[in-house]
Amino acid sequence: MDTNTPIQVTGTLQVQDSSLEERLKKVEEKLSSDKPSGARALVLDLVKALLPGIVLAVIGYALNDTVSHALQERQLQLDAIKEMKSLTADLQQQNLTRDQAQAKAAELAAFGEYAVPFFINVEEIGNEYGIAGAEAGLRMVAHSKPQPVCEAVAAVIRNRTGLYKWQTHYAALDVIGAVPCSDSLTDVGFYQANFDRLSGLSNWVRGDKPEPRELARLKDKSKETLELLNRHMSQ
Amino acid sequence: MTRAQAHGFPLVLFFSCITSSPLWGQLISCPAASGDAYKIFVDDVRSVSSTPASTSQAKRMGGLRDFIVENLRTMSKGRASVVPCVGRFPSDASVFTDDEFDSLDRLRVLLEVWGAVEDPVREQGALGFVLVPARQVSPPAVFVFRRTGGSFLSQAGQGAKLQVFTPVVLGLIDFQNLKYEDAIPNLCEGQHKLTDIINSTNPGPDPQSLPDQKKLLAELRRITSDAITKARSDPGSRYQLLKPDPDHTFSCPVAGGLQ
Repeated sequence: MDTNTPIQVTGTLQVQDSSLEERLKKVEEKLSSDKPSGARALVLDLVKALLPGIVLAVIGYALNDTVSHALQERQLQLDAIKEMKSLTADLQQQNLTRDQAQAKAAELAAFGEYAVPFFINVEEIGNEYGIAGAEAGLRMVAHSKPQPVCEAVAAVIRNRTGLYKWQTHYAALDVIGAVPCSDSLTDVGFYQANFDRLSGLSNWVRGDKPEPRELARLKDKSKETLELLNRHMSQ
Repeated sequence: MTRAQAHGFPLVLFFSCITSSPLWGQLISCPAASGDAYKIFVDDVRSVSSTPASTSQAKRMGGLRDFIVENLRTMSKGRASVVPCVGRFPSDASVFTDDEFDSLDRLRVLLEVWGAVEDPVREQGALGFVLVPARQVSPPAVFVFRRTGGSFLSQAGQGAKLQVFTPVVLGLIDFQNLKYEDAIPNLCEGQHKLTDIINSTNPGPDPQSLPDQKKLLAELRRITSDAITKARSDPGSRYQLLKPDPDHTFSCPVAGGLQ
């Protein structure tokens, strides 16, 4: 007889981890304790519901303000142009004396940066005293608003497509030095450095090319302007 | 009345007119000035007397102005455009400041001429000349020729003075533009004519502007010598044949160098 008699065991084995159950219980307890109660929950729900709307409203307001500001700015510019119209005609009229030109330029300069493009144009097409008045006008605007004046005159000396006469280049250099437009130091330096290339400079300007004596004058002016700017920067 | 008083009277009258007459205002811009060409401005010929000019005198003033325009057109030989500046009239020579010269220079104006009739009855007056390129070399470069002996409105009487300054400014502008060979004939012509004016006896030289005329003449001689020296640096220059003076400067050629 075999001593090893097999025993048949029937039933189910239930393995229960008591620690897992405890942990779940703790989480549930924690969650139930963190849940806002009453009014606090209501406010939070309300904020959640309103937040996208509020953000959208703020962005909309900011955009609207910017657009409205731009429109107002444009309107102001148009109004200024309308008001400047008669004055601009006066500065270009024939039979103008030097003093009259200076007086008209002072009136126009009161329009600030809006008068700058006009002054540049008179430098190009004006008569003897209109041109002198326009340069004085640019200086007057620069007293209160140097930035737009500096940008406009720097654009003149940077131009290489023959948009301006050599006389306008001369006036621009004069204004850059007088204001002084420190940001134009590099532009003036480049201008001065390239001066010896006569053929190059002659192509930069409109109308008849500058004669050697005019070129020498322009060169002296750019040198003087560069010195003024350097002196200003070293202070 | 002493001789000095007699000479001083028209001067006092002249300056009193400057201050009292509404015509003697500021310079206005020349209405017809435009373009890039070299220009000669011819301003008004006006009476500056408190006595109004008669119709015939006004006509003669207009005639003198037309004569000036035509004369300068001939003298400029197409090198400069002669522009009649109607309504432009300087109150006196002092309005031609550095700023004024600068504006004229930028517009490529070489010469500006005006006429002031100080006494229409006795035909006394003055012709004024502004030599823009001469400002640097011989300031103030404004010459006023006063004619106190009468016949100011006589066109023939003004011819000699009108012919002096056009070659001077043409020669100077060529010299400043480094065109030495072209500059010499005009510089020499200007020199000769200015010498004639200074040495003239009928009418004699204007004592007021004589020192300035002599100063300009000396500068012209120096510039001409300089121009000849520089022109000779070109082996093909016609001025190679010129011999220097004992002081190593060059004078205008007596013949062959003038056009």
